[in-house]
Amino acid sequence: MRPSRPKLKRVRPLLGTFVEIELAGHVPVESLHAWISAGFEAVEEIDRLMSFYRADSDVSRLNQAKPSVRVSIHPHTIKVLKAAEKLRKESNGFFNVRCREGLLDLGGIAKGYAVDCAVEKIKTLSRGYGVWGVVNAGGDLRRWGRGQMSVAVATSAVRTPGNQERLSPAIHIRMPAAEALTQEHAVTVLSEKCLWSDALTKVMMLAPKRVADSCLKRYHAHGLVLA
Amino acid sequence: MRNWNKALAGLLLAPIPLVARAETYLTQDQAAAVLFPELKMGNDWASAGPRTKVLWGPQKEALFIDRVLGKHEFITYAVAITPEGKVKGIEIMDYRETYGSQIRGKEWRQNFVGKSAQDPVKLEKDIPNISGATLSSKHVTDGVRRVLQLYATLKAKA
Repeated sequence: MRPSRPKLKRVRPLLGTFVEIELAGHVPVESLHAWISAGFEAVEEIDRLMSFYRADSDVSRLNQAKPSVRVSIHPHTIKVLKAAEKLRKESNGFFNVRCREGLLDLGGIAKGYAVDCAVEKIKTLSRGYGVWGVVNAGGDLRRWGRGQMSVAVATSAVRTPGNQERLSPAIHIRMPAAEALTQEHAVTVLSEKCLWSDALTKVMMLAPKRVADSCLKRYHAHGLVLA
Repeated sequence: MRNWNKALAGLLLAPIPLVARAETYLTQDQAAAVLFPELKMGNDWASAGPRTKVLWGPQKEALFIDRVLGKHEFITYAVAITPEGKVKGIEIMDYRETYGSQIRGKEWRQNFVGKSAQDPVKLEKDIPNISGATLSSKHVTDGVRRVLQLYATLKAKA
């Protein structure tokens, strides 16, 4: 029988939720700790760049800038903005990171991207060691490694006034079509990247089925509705 | 074409990573090693309140361990503070849920047994990790804010 591999799980409060990183492999425990710390640092970087609530984030600086003033932003932010714009077109505008007041809010996509960044950082550092792991940001998660099917999962829900807690309160208030939502249900999307899973949950929530299905297909993603 | 049914089954039957469980992630010593990897912080813990203790470093950096109440669980966390009074890092040390196991493992999984990805899955209950996470994490960050003030006070007294 195979001896069990060292396994570690750590949690930090980030992105307005708890981010849990689990890692296992035939390596010293110190290596697992170091790689987990690096994963958290990758998440922290995305939080610093894209948080709606931090005055010095790229998002806030873009929102505060006067019209036609140049704002220099990080390549991560550019990447996410491009992905958001692509999805906006593909979803006929149902996915939109610009809210009614004209402000930019990456809350519906940044968490998934942060998870991907953490996973990719850990995979790079641990290449060749055959580790497996999970990065889970309050339900947006991605797992990878030998013997495990790689998958990224995100879940979004709308609540009726009875329960105010939501995964991404900012995006449910701010996306233009969000007011139309009245049912209480949740959607889960599985794909290869958490960025896509995260963003596609919003498309599933907000867009007509035909549009949502076409977007899911484009990203080789699978959506579930939990009624 | 990826086999999503298999992935989904794997996810639902595996332990679901939810916030509200009893779990320990780090001991005191491990928290010190993770948050101050370059220092040997020692073991001279002092009380800093009914739910708080502190370990001082050589340059007046500090490691606080504090406990807050999340939505349904006690959360013990460690926060490392630099000599300049800034947060260096925060790690959750453990959760101890205060309510029962209605959302845990086996019962939760029973809702999905026999379903395929094609069936709309019907749930009677809320999806708990959605309800729990945001408020609990806010309580931790409130705790950290309180600890920062405590740090300033204790440092001034010393």
